[in-house]
Amino acid sequence: MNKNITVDNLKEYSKKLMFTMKEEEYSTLKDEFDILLKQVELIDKVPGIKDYEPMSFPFPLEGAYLREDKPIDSISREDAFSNCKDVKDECVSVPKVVA
Amino acid sequence: MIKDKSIDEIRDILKTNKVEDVFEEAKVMAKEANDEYNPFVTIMDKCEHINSISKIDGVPYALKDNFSTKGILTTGSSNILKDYVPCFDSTVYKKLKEAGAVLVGKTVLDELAMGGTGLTGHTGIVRNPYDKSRITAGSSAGSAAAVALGIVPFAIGSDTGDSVRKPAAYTGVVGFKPTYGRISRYGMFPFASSLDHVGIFARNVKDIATVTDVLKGRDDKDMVTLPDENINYSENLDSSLKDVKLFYIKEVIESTSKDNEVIVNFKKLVEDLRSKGASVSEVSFDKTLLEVIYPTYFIISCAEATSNNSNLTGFIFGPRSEGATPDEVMINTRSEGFAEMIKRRFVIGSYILEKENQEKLFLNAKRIRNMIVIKMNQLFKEYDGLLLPASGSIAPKIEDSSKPDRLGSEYLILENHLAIGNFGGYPSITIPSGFVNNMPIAVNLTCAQKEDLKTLQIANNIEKVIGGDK
Repeated sequence: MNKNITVDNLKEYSKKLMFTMKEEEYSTLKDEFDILLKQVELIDKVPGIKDYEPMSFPFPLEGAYLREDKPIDSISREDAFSNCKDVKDECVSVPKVVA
Repeated sequence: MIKDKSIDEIRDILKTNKVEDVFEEAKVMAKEANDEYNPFVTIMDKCEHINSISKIDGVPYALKDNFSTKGILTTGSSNILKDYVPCFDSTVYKKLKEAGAVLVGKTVLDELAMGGTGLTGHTGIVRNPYDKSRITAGSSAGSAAAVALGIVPFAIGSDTGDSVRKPAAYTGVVGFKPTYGRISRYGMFPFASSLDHVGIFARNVKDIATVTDVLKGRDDKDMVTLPDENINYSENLDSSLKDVKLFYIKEVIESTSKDNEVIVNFKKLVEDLRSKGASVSEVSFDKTLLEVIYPTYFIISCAEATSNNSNLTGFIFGPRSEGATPDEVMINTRSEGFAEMIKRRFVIGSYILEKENQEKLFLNAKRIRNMIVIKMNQLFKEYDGLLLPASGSIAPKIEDSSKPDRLGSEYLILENHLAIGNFGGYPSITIPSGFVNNMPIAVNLTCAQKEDLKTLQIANNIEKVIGGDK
């Protein structure tokens, strides 16, 4: 685990997440990372932590099952496109990537 | 006519008044309140009402703006969805509509429900009805304020860490999140799916029970929903405090000064409950675990949020920024659409989910969650419920919350213990317990998983002991 987070690291993370941040925002974020990593040390030191399984849900899910593979709810093409800013020929249109 | 009224009182008013007139009064109040307190993103123009025989037929209500409403703007209080109009209904909205409830407006939240102050919604800050210079807490800020201002008798929120129960405490209303899966989250914008619950605000416990009766039940569109137990909560609220065994956590109470008026109020309630026949025991809980509640919550929620919000690209829905390539369009859309706090959480979430960090960060946080839940489940075998102050103070001043939701270096156990309710999916309810400096304070009751009826029954008794039957 990289414990020495730099602003350049943070820029790389935000790039992967497909957004940019202002320079001063990276500084705030770096401060927050420093605190987070200190708190992670606290978590790491909790006695017996490795004896426990990671918990993903509060309790076993009774209602989770694979339903029949049949369409039950669908929306119309018109509804699906109703919030899309650029639709052409029944497709979502985006800038060309090939000339 | 309807200001500050409960569901039953409004149902009485509806015997001699039209649903449309009640709606109009609520609408006028909502518009007036928005100038001063800003609880609403959208206020409905027209009364839309389906006749029903339910107990909330004709009753006005408010809905947090992270629940999908077909044909009605649903923004998540974020610029990235500022013009989004869903093409489907959330299950909660659908059930309320079919039960005859009348939507007055969609309420402001902290952006995408990721915050605890009510200061980060894209339409501005929500102010506390008791003191405009103070926060309401969040993220369900507008829903709490709408009930506290007496505009509606109930409102819907969502609760991932304490987002219904903390604002309820700061605004002097009842706030309840039932057991994980008791109410369907279909159509509710996901924040951290393993912690997300639907929650309800109302003026009293009975109204909370009435609305829960309408909303609860299995929904195949949300795989975590529980089968309905076919028990009507609101008609089975009467119970005795005799033989009820409650406990509080010594280390939480001792984390602040014993002269803190919130603690004085809490201890008086404990004595009053004992005098009515309940037993209230002091129980010791590993302080090391209590101190890591917030970082555990923070790590799990940031990780899940990063994943859940990756669909906000600007291509299929929401505003789309200009760009020469699809990548540029997406980067510009997300850069302009998310506020700073959201971006910080996503970066942290992304870091947590990196392969080399998962064991030490994500999985260890999930182990702590398990440790806390196992300990709580053991306690709930011996006790009926955990009683604690909902917060260690009255609502803070807005200027003291001006750096909202940054991870702090202090371990504020008394401010963060409500997340235990989300870790274990426990039914958990905040009940107003008095005032300090003319600001409301509250207690919180948390019970064992799936014991929603018991939670409401005990809460109903606590409310009577406090004298809160508003």
